[in-house]
Amino acid sequence: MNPEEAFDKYHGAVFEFAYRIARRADVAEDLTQECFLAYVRAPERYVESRGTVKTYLFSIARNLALKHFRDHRALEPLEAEDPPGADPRRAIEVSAAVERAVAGLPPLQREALVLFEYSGVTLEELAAIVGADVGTVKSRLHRARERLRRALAPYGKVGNAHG
Amino acid sequence: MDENDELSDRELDRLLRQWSAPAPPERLRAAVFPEGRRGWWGRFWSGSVRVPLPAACAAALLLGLAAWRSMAPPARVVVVRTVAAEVPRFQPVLELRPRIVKAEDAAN
Repeated sequence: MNPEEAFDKYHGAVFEFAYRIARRADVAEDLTQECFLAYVRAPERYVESRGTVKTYLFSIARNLALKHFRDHRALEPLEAEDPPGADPRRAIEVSAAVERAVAGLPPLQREALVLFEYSGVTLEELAAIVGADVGTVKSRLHRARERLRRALAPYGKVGNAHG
Repeated sequence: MDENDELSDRELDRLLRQWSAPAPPERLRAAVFPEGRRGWWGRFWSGSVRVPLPAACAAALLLGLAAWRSMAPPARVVVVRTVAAEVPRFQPVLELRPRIVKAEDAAN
């Protein structure tokens, strides 16, 4: 797969991953651009026997995101508290609550959850992207979901009550 | 909050789906694949040529002159017709016989 085909196929998913990690569209755009430029400039670095183009691109995006947040010291878990006056019944409030809850996860759990739940990667692909074994990423996913289950409990009950 | 208040897997999945992300901007492609990376036809249709200002001025002047000349009225063509003179019983001199005449004879 040449870089243009890879871009057409995966740039949306890479951008979405970067956005959900960074929570800022401008940072996500920079990370996505850098990710594909790295592939365009040195396509020979991709070795087919090590994995798919998809996992390779997500690995680059993940490393760029980690570097970005190391430089800007912004990957620390955020407070998952609701802002004062938030109305959990409104859909926009639910969306914001989910965003805050995910942002409140520890970095390794956060990236695992975002990649698995939103980017559609398999457990094996996730393990290859983050450079861990499948058992480790399963454990991270489980802990992330447990945290989210508690943090988002009020929204689930309200959502059910209102259909 | 007791354990019964926690979300089921299905409820959690439903909530997670409510967080949407924006679409990637269109300009991303141009940022990753600038003009130089386009194909031959792409460069042909969107390419540009830099011309030095004096050369551009000279070309514009020549074009202007050519346009002016093409718009000017065509030069008048004068057709001169020659008519052959016809003199009846005219015969050209076949042999010249010069004759020297004396002055006193000339006076006569």
